[in-house]
Amino acid sequence: MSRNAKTGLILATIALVFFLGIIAKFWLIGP
Amino acid sequence: MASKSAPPGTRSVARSKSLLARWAVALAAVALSGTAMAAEWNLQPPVTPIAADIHKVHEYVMLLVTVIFVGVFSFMFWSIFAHRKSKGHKAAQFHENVTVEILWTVIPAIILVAIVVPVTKVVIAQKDTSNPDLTIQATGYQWKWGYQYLKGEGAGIDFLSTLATPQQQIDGQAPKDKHYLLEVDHPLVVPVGKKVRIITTAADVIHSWWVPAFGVKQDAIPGILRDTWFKADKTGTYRGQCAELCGKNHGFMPIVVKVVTEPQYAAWVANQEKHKSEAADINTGAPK
Amino acid sequence: MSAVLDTHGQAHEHGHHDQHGGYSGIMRWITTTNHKDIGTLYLWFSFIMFLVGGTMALLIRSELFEPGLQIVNPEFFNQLTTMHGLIMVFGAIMPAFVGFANWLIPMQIGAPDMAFARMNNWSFWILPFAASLLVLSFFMPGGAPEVGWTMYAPLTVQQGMGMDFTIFAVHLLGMSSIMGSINIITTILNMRAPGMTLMKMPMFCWTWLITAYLLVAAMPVLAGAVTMTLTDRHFGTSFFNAAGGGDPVLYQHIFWFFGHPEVYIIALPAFGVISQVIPAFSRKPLFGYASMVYATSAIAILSFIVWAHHMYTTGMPVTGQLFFMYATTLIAIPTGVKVFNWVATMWKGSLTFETPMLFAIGFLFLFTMGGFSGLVLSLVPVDIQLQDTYYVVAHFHYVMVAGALFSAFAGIYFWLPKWTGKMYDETLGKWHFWLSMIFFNMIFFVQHFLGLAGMPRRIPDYPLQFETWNQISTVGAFGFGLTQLLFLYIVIKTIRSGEKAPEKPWEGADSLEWTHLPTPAPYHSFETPPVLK
Repeated sequence: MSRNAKTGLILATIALVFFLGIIAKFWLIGP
Repeated sequence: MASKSAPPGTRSVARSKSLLARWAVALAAVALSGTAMAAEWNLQPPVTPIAADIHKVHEYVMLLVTVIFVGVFSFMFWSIFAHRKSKGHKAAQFHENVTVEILWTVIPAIILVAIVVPVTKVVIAQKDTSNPDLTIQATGYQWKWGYQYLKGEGAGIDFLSTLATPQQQIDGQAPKDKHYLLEVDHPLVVPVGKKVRIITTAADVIHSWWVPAFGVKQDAIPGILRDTWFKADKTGTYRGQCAELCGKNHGFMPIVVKVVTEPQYAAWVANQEKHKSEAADINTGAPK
Repeated sequence: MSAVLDTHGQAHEHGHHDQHGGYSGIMRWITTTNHKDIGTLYLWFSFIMFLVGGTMALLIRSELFEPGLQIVNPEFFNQLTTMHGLIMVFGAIMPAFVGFANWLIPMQIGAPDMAFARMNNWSFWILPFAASLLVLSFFMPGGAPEVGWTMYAPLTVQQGMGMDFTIFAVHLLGMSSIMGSINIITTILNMRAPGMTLMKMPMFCWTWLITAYLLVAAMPVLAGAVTMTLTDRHFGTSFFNAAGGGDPVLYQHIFWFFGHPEVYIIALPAFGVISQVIPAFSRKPLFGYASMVYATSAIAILSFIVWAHHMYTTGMPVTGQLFFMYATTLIAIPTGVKVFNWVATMWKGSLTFETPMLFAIGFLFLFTMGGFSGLVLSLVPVDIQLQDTYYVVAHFHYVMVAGALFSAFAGIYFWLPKWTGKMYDETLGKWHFWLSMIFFNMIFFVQHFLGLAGMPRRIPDYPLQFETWNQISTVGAFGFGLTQLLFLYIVIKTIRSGEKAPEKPWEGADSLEWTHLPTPAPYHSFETPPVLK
């Protein structure tokens, strides 16, 4: 995998984790 | 578009400057005429100690901020005047100065501390709703307020407070009266000089109960109780508006509070019939 | 730095299009993976959105000219305020700076293009689709949402189908921004020419690097908030419904956790442009480059811990109010450092005042005013009076219009010669500047007074004491709007018939696109990296 692809993948993962994480936290644990 | 004789840009700059002068005069004329027409410049006159504190905080910060602004931009305008290429000024090449940079980091920090320390006291005072003389619940509806007197003299009184401005005035078919959009059928009535605790909530979406003369604004949130307080020092009628977008008639659900003397308040309480809460009928009776 | 001109790929015959990916006409623009083309697309798209959002503003200000309802009904008024905000923030100002990023970052770091050139194409083409969804929501049953650009629950749960269109549009806009940010970070971290260390990069690239991180962190949170709104609307969840065990205020926390970094996402690239323009027209290096980098980073980090200053009236405990007040006032320090550094850059320079510099100076003056009204708002007791009033409207228009928009104008006048090979008309440019300055202040300075006097936001009609300032504001709005048509004329005239630009139109400009590339820049630049000192 190219260096660019690795960098891009890390950043995309951060975005995805934030998105799913916010929803999951409030869904499972509430406000 | 290069000028043939004058240095680049100067002719158009000169033209722009005289134009600017003409515009400035025109603008000043407009502004001054605005002053003559009873325009408002500042916060409303305070009627509670908290509102008076807010005035003081605002004036203090405005003074500081104006001094800093004028100071910093004097440097910029001096530069614009004196450090022009067209005046032959040659560019220095410095691009750092540790002393100056430390100073202009530390001094603003000190100024900020000088601001937030006195302000902290006011924040704490605004939140202290303990030991009220009178407790009233204000419930936000789409689009009116409901008031329930819960504790203290008048407990049990319960009514809705709806905009009283006639639709014809809004539609431009009748001349607008002085308190256009700031009048209701049943104002809140409270005694002067007493600590009044207002509990806010809502029946549908978020509203916000706001009386500028009291320095009080508290969001009214469905399913949650919040509170705030005020102690009015002067009798009179004070008007505010809903301060959180709540649907189409957000601009049409004002708050009106009549602050009366204690004997007047006692008489008003005695005159209220303890009628059934209109809130129970809200769904059938509410205007669409 | 040696000025080795890269003439690879430069069209030697005017009108030769075989280098544009093999396509011509519309297909060229639809399939392009070239950062210059994509930058151009973003900029034109953002200008169109600016006119659409501006038209909505004129409708709003027309209704507000006098007390009473004359032109629109209250529901439509709030659809306008909502869409004006969403279109200006997500359709106009953010894409404008992404357009700058695309055009400039590869050239300024000596790279041939962006790291993910094909994803770059998608990042752009999602936008017209998303914008159409936003505009289309007006034509749905019930019209566009009437919730303000902030879309608070539970008001959003009451809305019709237009709300769902908007939520979908926001998801798409967010994906475009996130993909763009991934592209920008990867390009800047991995593709700088040898010798271009991070601390030698133009300030514009630094501000975009930091902004891109903010976007990656904050945009997904917005996506979460609107998704949770969607499920509360249609899938039986109760995230924001107290009766179901949720909390309406939770929406505000999640939204503003995005929302505050968002305003710095808008402001930081604007700062970056100013940091290129002021040194160029002062013929002097940017004062305190390292401090600027640290200050920008400090602003970005602090932007994550101040969100609830938008929520002082929601009923949070006093310790919460105090924490957010202290944290918010802290941001004034690095912001002040930046303002001082720009003034110090001008100090003892050799200044000229072409249009880019005029807009940069206008920015400096007016953005700082906006910053001070922000400081006033950060103080809880005063904010209790000013929250949800026109004072807030004045504040954010100072920082976003006199701030970000003026910076964008500065950047466009500055880089038009590099992009098109033609000079804009300097006299007309100055007219655009002065008219914008005067009319902008006419619209928004008086709104501070409206807020202080007690006029709430988002109301189509108002009590009589607010009439004078509203009338002045409306007159200003029409003047400002017409002035932007002058700008359109200037740009088109430049492209079609502007005077040929010299190789170095700006004596003091010293970043790679000015020193190492011809004017106009060739379609493909730096296919081999430049040799840097």
